[in-house]
Amino acid sequence: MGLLRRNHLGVWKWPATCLTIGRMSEASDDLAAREGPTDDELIELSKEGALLNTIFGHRADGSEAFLDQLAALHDAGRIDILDLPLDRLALLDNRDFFNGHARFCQIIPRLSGEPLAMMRLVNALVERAGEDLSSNWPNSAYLEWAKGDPERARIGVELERGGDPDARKLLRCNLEAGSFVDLAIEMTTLADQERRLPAVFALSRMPLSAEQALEALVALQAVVEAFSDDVTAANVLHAALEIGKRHGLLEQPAASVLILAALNNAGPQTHYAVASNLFDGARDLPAPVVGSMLEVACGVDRTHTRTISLLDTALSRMVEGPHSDLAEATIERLITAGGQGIPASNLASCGRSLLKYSPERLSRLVAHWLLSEHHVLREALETFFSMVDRKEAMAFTLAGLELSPRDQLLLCRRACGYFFIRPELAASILVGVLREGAPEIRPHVQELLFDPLAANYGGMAQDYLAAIPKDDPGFTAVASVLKRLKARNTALGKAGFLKELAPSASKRQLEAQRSASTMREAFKKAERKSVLLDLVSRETLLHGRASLSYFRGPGEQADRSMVTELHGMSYSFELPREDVLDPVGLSLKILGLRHGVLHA
Amino acid sequence: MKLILSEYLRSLKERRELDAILPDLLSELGFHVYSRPMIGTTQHGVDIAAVGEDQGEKKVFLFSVKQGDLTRQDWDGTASQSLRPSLNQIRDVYIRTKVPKRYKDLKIVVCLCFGGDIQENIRLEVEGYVEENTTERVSFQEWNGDKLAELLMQGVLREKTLPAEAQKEFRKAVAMVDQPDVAFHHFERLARSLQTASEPKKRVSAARQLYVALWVLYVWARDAGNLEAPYRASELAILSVWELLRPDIGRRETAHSKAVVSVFVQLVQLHLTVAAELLGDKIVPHLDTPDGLASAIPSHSSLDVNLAMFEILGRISMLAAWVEWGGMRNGVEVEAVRAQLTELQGYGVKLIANNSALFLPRHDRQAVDIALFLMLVHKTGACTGDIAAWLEQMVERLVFTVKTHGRYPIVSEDYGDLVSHPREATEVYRKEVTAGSTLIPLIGAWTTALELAEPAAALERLKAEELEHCTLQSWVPDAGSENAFYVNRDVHGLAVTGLPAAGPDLIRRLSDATRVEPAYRSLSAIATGNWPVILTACRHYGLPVPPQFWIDGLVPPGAAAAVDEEAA
Repeated sequence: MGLLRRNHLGVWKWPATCLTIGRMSEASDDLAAREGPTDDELIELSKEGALLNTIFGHRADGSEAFLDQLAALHDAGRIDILDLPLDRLALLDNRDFFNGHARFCQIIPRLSGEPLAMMRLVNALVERAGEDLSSNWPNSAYLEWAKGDPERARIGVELERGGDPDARKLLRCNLEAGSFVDLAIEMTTLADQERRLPAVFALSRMPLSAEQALEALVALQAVVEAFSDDVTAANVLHAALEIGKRHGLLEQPAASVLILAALNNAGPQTHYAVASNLFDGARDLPAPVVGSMLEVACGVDRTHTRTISLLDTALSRMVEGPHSDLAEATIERLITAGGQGIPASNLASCGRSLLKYSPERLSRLVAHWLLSEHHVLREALETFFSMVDRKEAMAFTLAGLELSPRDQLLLCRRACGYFFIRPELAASILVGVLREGAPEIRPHVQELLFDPLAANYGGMAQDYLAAIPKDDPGFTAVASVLKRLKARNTALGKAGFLKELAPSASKRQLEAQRSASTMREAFKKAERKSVLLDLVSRETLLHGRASLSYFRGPGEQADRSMVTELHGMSYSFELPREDVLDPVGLSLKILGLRHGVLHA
Repeated sequence: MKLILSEYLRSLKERRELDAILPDLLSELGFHVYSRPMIGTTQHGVDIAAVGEDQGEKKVFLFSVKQGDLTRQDWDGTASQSLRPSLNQIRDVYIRTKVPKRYKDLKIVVCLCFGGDIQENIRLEVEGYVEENTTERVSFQEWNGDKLAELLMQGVLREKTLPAEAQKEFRKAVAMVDQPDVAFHHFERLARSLQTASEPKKRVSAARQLYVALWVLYVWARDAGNLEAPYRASELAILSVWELLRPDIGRRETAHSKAVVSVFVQLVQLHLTVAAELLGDKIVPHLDTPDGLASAIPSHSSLDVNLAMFEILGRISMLAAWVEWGGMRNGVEVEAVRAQLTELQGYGVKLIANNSALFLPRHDRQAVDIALFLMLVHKTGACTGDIAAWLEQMVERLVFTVKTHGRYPIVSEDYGDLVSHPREATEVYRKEVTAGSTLIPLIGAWTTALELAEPAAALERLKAEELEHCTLQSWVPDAGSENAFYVNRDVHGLAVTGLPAAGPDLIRRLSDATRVEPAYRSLSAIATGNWPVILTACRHYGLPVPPQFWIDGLVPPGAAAAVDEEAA
């Protein structure tokens, strides 16, 4: 047999190695030099107390074969995986630990053993994983393991009753694995929160009969009435929604009263539960329930970033689903919220989803938000367009908006103010108004189309306007603007460049240095923010147009060469003319337009 | 050097451009010029008449001047200024009747003078004319561009009075005329080297050298299509020559002092020629186009646009000042002068209206250009509505930029500082770069005088809320100014500090300050009525325009009397 072996995908892998904490042991050196450990070697390692390192070593083999080998040896009593020195988990570095953590989660359901030992192992793994998103995986593995033999859950519950701390931590799993519905309902009345909440949670996961489901809801109602704390309310809410969804009870008074009661004194935990449940399945919830939950969600503390992040994702899903209107209204309320709203940049997913609206719907949103008296809403719209870097025109329509001429003009002004750096987008809104808007405001809209838009941008905005076909209802008005623009450009071209007014070479150099320095700083800032750069290695080429590199992959004996061609990357943007001619005036003009008035 | 001068002479566009330097050239060569070019009077073919030596013999030299090459048209065309008819007039009329009695016995040399050369196809005809008309008493000489260049080098620009180092600076200035900063730098070094002349004769030579050097620079720049260097050089030349003539003020008039004054007047004329050409040909045609001039600036930096716009405004205002001065000096009717000033002010108003970069300066020194234009407006009494709107805009933008940490005016005029401004949006930075201001009291005084209550109040609020640290000030000359002003020799003058941002108190304080320090009236340029020299110095060296120039117009008549009484 060679030094390398294939894994189940047929990829050559490094053999399993034996690592000590900090450095390789002699044994591991041996193992590294040849294929994975034999049964005897694993038994030997187990006796030496080095099995933990073999499983957790980051170069250890994660193949099914290896896991089978471990499980077989454990079940045969030749090694005891449940008897590992768990105190040494803390000494593992994160990379090693999470490799082994995943491996254990795979192997746990296959193992035989005493529930107490298993619970200790599971709790140790959960504790060591800390706040990582995968920290609960061992609980799921335990649940599967406990379901494998009803006796295991029963023993677990018994141990909990006896006060065993490891059994208490896994009470929910044991209640669920054993489907101890009556016991769970009974425990919901306990004053001890550590025991009451797992029972509430377990009820949300257990298979219940229709009768048991109603019984559970009644019990939960009693819980929420007896205990008014936020954590209990959050758990009850979750359980009620789960039971209600599974048994089609959400539109029953029992469920809706319970949900409202749970939402009544919402605190941070309930807010999180609301966000989480909306994230998991708002689509399946009836509108009144969603409405109540969103009402509560609007009270979320703007400093609770995890809840807001979850809510952002939940609402973004909802925007694209059946509760779209509710979601949009909630996003609006979250942003405006009495001057203490959530910054639009924290609702990026919502923004992306809103901008996917159909042209009619997006037109309605744009008009509604731009005409809002809340400047934060107008700014949010600008932020959303900015985050997706959407510059292109939209098919704006006034159909169904029923805007007064005054509002149509206000909309145009604000479109110019807020989308000034996206001239094509702004122009498309104005053109939409020119097509369908009130005739009396047309000259004003044309003026706005000319200045600040077309007069400031020679590129995209003018290209967009020039591309409007003759049979378009807005063509005549736009053509008039373009004609005026041409006349202006001709007049400006007459002066040419006046040599006398040119800055000196030294001044140009200073300006170029400042500009280069600004660009360099922006580039560095972008690099610091880049997720990609954290994942890849980096080489800097001083010469040449391609790189020739050598590397050796896992399981490979010889270096391989790879040629990577250099490719160009560029980004261009158009500066408004007035940014050069009169930047202060431009700022004031934009400010005026944002407020809906034209600055003199 | 000779090539530079030959090219200069060849490029002269009009006959009077050659006339302008020929008398000085002759004077420096030892000729006595007794008749100078005059416009509108019959010269009988003679443009310049002088007495000088030729081969050891004293003779009368009669110059008939043409520009450029001598073509068939110039020699004997239909134009009244053709050379052959002029020479005939000299023979038929001037020599018989116009030669001064004291020179009647002297032989006469008729000089055919032109900046270029005789074209080969008429050379035989010219030579034939000369041969036929040469007599015992009357001879002819050809003074072409080559000879004039040679004479310039022997005379005005001879190494004895213009040392090799100065000549080098002159050559560099001319060579770099398309890079105005560099050209001006070398011209400035040339001017500084000539300012050391102290003896009367040397001062005359130095003044003439500067004048000729400026002419050469101008003509070369004109050919290069870039008048920036000669414009700036002409301002400096005026100030430098004023410094050269200052020692003669208040003393008995001498031939030398008259000569320097003559050069000064010619320099002002040349400055006005350059300024008018720059303004008329390059600026005015684009004043009616919105953003027309701002777009003509070959730069992508808003700073360059701003600096250039205020520069133009300042130049329009300075041209108006010299026009007014020239009108007064030459006894032109007041209404005619006023019409010219109104026209120039109209240019300024159009410039502002169509180039909104002028609504707020970037640095405090630009207050000089604002002050000069406000003075012009005050003199004409027109467009006060436009000016009120301008000042309102300026105040609004000043308040806006200061409050938002935007591009507000700063104390530094260093380009590096300006181009990176605002470097930080912090209170510390803002305090540092707004440590003082002459701009705020200036616009504060004018908004108060124009009864613009809201802008005046806004300035006061700005001072109280955001710029409490800022030393609001103005500047008046002091006893040391006379010796330093014209050549920017040293720090001089008196800063009038602790001024309010606006209001009657501000005007009263400034008015008081003009009475407390009497040095202004004894400045030579003021005492002799050549006040634009002071304004030129203020603009050129970046000194605030002393309030003596403008404050009286802002004080209500009754209030002025009260202040006078109080001062008494």
